[in-house]
Amino acid sequence: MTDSLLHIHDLIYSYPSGEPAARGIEFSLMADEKHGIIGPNGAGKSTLLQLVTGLLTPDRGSVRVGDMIMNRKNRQNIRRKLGLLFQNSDDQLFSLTVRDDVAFGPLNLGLTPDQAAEKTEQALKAAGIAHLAERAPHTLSGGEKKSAALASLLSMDPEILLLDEPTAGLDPRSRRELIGVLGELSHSMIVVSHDLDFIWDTCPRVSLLHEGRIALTGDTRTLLQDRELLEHYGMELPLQFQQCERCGAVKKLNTGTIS
Amino acid sequence: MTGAGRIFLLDQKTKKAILLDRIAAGSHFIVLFLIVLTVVSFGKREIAGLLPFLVYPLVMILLGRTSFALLLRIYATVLPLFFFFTLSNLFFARDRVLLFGTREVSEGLVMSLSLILKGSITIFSVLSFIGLKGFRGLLSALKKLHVPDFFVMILSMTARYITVLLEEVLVMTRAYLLRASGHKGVYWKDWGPMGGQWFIRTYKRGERIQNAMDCRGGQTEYALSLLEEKTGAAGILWILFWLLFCLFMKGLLPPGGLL
Ligand SMILES: Nc1ncnc2c1ncn2[C@@H]1O[C@H](COP(=O)(O)OP(=O)(O)O)[C@@H](O)[C@H]1O
Ligand SMILES: [Mg+2]
Repeated sequence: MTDSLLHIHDLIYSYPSGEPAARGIEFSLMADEKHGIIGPNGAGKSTLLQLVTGLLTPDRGSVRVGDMIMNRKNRQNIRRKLGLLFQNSDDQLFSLTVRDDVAFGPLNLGLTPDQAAEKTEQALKAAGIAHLAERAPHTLSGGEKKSAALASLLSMDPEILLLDEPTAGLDPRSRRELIGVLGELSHSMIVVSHDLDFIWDTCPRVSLLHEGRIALTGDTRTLLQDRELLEHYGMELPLQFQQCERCGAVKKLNTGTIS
Repeated sequence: MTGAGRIFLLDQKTKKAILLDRIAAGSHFIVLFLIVLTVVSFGKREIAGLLPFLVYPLVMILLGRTSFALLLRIYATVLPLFFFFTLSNLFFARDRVLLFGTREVSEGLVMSLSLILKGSITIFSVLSFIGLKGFRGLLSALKKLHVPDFFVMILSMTARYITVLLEEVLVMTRAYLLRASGHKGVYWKDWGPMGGQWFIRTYKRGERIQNAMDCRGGQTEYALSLLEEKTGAAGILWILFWLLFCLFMKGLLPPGGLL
């Protein structure tokens, strides 16, 4: 377990209202791994990502990133290594133009304005939105906002990307474009989602979060085709494997990633 | 988005404005201020003297990136306000008659026309400025003019989120009305709870935005530093040109100009 990039040990957290949202989470992310975390609404996925980034402080347990164990003092240093993509992009884009937003992180890292500008341009390109740099966030579509938010993370060169429901509210085309953009990135990432088709296309490994615990971890190809298992935990097969009700045929057995 | 809310659609920046973009927002703002000040300083019964000042918004629109159709739509929503304010003139200043060319018209009509003209020049000038430089440009100018940072930051957040917050009001009232079997509007007794809910939503959102900032280093002065712009020769020329224009049109320069 020592060679993992991120390790979560016995994480327990309850909201002030008393709602327990993490009940002893164990989880490891290896370097260069793209790992999906699935689970129905309310399973505690968003809570987990907020604990990992130190936005919430656990009641018990630890989060280790690289060789640093998260505490109050090094929280800012750990956050530099993490790029959390919020579920709602409107919360993430707080500047008046996309370019300003993407430049905010690098400047905070202490880069000179010129260096920050260079990082900004690179990130805008990587996210495929160089043409939107001057636009105001509120004039963008949902998919464009998502890409802009992603760019604002990429400009900080994070080691690990943490994506919270990245496809929520995206139309099929924006969704496909996002899959394309993520496929080009070499970052380690944790993708939290109940969009199992998306996980199938982006993450070779997957864990299932159930009632605040990791119930299962395994290969995406195996786990996501196990109907009984998924249904036991309150989920359904990815759409692409669901049977046609009339003829009983599987709609599409697509084993490659969509390009 | 309806009515005057369309002003936020002006902030699109979809086209390039090669000439006017070379001039810093601060210089544009000073010229805007100058034009408005001069226009407002004309007498109550002045019409002919005001006409040349239409040139300024015209230049800003032609060389800028504002969609004229959108401008007109916003203008149309404020026009009734003018009529409201000028109505009194029409009624109360009816007896005195002025010579307008060779025709006689009532003083009230002349005063109304003058007021509408002043208002229109002002509105088109302000709107074309926002269409060119966006709200970011406005803040950039305020920063240049040494408006305190915290104030600029608050304005920036307001400009960014007012559309989002208005949308929440819209969503909430719509959800309310859909379940409000038939009656129009929100009952007075429900204003309290609705307002409270809106406040909580706004507060929660504020928290999440703060989180987004914290995840990227969190120091807002960097967001403000992005607004800084150099004035440059183009800006100074731009100011000088319009300053002479205003002085000339007010008859404060000899007719032959300076040469
Ligand atoms: N701010 C909060 N206050 C109280 N309870 C919360 C809050 N956020 C989430 N919860 C509760 O914690 C549990 C996990 O929520 P969450 O992490 O958002 O789930 P997911 O992202 O998997 O849908 C849910 O039962 C939810 O009701
Ligand atoms: Mg969630």
